[in-house]
Amino acid sequence: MKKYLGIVVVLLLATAVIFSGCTNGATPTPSNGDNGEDAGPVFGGMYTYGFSGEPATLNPILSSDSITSGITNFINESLITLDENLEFAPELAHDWEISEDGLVLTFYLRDDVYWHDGEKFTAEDVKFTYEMILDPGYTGVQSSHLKFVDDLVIVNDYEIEIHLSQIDVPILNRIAAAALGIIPQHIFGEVEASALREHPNSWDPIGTGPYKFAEYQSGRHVVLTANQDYWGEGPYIETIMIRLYQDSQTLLSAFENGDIDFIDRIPVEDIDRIKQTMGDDVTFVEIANNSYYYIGLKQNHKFLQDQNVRQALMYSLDRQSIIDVVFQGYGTVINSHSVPFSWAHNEDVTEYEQDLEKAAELFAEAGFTKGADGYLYNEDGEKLEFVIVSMTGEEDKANVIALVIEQWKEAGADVKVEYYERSVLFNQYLDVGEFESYMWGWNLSVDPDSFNQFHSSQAKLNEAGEPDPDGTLVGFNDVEYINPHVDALLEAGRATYDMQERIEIYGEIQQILNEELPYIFLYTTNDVKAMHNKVKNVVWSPLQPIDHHVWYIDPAFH
Amino acid sequence: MKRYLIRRFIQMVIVLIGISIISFLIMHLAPGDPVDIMAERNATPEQKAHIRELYGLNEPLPIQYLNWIGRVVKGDFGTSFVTGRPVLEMILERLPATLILNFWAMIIIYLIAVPVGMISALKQYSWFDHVVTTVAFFGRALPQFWFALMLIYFIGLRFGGVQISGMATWGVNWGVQPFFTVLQDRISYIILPLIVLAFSGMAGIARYMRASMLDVVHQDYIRTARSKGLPEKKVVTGHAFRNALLPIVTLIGFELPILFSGAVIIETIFSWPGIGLLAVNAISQQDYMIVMAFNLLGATMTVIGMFLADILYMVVDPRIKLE
Repeated sequence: MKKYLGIVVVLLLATAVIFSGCTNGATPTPSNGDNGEDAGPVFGGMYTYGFSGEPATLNPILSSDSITSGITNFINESLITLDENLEFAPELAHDWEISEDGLVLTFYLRDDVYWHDGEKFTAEDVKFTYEMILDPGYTGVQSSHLKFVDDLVIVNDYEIEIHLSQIDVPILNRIAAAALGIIPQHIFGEVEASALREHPNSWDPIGTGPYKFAEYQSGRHVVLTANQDYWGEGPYIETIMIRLYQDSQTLLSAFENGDIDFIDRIPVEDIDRIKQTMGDDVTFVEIANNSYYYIGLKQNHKFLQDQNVRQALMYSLDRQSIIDVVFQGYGTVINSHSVPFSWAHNEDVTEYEQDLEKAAELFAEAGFTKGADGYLYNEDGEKLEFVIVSMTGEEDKANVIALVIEQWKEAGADVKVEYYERSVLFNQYLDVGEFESYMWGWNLSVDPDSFNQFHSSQAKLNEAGEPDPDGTLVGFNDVEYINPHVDALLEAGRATYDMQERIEIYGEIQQILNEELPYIFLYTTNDVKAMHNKVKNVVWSPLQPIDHHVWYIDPAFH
Repeated sequence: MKRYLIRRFIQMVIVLIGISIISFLIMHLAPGDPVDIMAERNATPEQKAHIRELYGLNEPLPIQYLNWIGRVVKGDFGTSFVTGRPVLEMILERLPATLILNFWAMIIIYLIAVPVGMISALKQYSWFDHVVTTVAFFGRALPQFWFALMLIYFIGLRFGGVQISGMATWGVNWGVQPFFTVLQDRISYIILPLIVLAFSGMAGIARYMRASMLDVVHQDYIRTARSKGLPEKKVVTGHAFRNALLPIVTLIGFELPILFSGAVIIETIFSWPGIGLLAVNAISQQDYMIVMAFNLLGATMTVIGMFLADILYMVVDPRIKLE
């Protein structure tokens, strides 16, 4: 269905191009931001945006989808947040400190915060929320966020201590995320953790944030209204209307039709056209995604266990050309587990520009020689071949895989791809760690920690808890990358709050991963987002528009 | 007659039990479960196993089935794995949108298709007949999604009064605003999906009506009516039309389940908040509870529809006796 939509749109575009030739020479319009004639914030108006899909819940601590967090963001707040420089900023806690030994985090809470139903917000709510997540009956996916929390101690109504069993520096980033938004104890206090999802208020949320929940209609919209008693600045927008669409192409049409004021991602093939037609009314912002795509290689695979083979595979690829073809250049080549705008990013790694001679040398070193059919064979006459498993229904990834396979074929590796429906892929391949290679992407945190992916304790373990190819997969180290030195670095990175030290630690990890290649690191994409100019004072962090409470709508549009 | 009704009723119950078992098995034989979809790769394999246990997804299938059917009999369809909301509530809140759209589509289809089919049969091979036949084939052959997108791009995006997605403007409600303001608002949303559904549905009925009418006008009793000197108008309305309508009337019985099932493609493209999308999303999320309730609803409607069709046959055609 999506596929056909794509074809139709292309045909339509072709027609549109032909017809536009008849009308007038379209003048390129620069995208403009605020016009300077600002009278300052005025209360009123409506801000509309949309999602393609349906929220799975409106309870922040049960969210696992971006739609839910995109809505609860307005309603619930966390102890701290990330500002426009991705640094920690106060939210429900006006201040916080870390004990000398790093094991106790003390948060000083605001004493002027009220829940939307008028109850006062206190440290009890924080303790309650975190304990809910730590409850064995909790059905959400956030429990690993608080894995090392030992105890939650209320000092007084507005001061709470989080005691850790071991130093866990990335926890601050998780506390700052919407997924650890605080929920009210006086509403959920009586409910069993296992029944939290069924609680009526999981669909009628009460928070402390700048906007109050008003109504949800399945398949139609979620409506929020301004919280007049908000503790901070604003809010200035009277109504937030979140429309629910069923398809990203419909979402785009709705944006073009003026039904919504903001679109999170314009499909790359539509960017130029939309810039042409809507440039006067809309501000475009290109933002790099905090995620990257890769092909994971089983580290104990008969052929892939040889580092020379892995490096040769990397040298065989022209990844920039793949980005140019599939994403029309809206992306960046990635060489290790990090994205360029991360504070821990290390530029000093091998770039693996395509070099077929070098690849051939490395293959030869690994004992492979080209046969008459152009494929590589080892001394035992075995062909260099393996299978990539991937998920059905993702056109971009499929295009990337096709190009990768083509380029590897050129170099002599015979690689096949098999596509599986999502739950089959998890059930039979990824979650049990049974594959030769697979394609996937990681959404990264602002923190560079990659313990779950590369620490040996997250691979397949036997009963004794030791790495064992016949054991059970525990975490995300499904490629079974085992390196004691990296283990030590990953542990050290979690155990120090010193920024400079962490930059060095994660820099070294990136270098090692870049050399040893548990993954074929591929690319990260850029999204072009667009916001209608009637929405003023929008604050953009490197990841997304933030601080909704200070935004306002141009009075001319009230 | 009474015996026939009782027998039919028992058959209906058996069919429904069979369908409930089949739909339960199909959902559970498919690999994967809702936890995979919900947690995706945000939860480690270890966490997922824990959640699975909490949901009781590890129990043997027959036990899970009996638990489920036991509650269904009492009218409790359970709660959705994904949203935690009662399944019946989720279905009922989506049903009105589907009913409204399909009801009006059906009314329009029959109001236009029946006379059109009749005229083109009476004037067989006239220009009117040729135009109708061509348009009907066009409507049948046109992919719905393509037609819908064309309408969006060439009408929806160009005319302010026509909406391209959703079914109502927020804040415009019956009883709050004047009647005609609300009516205009609702029409502006429903018009495009209605055109698509009506156009593609009309073709079949019109052709059906034409064939049925052609069949009838060549019957002996029509010739008899003509030969005894009845005016042509009376022959058509009194004899031909009513008999030609027979198969069409019984079709309405089969339309009942269609009325309750959503048109997924149309609902997707126009973001019409109907039940079809709910079902399709539930299937891709492996949300058993919704899928099974939906299947049961569809099966019930189909069984009742068939039953109605049989009854209607008997009512409109005295030659048929149900034993």
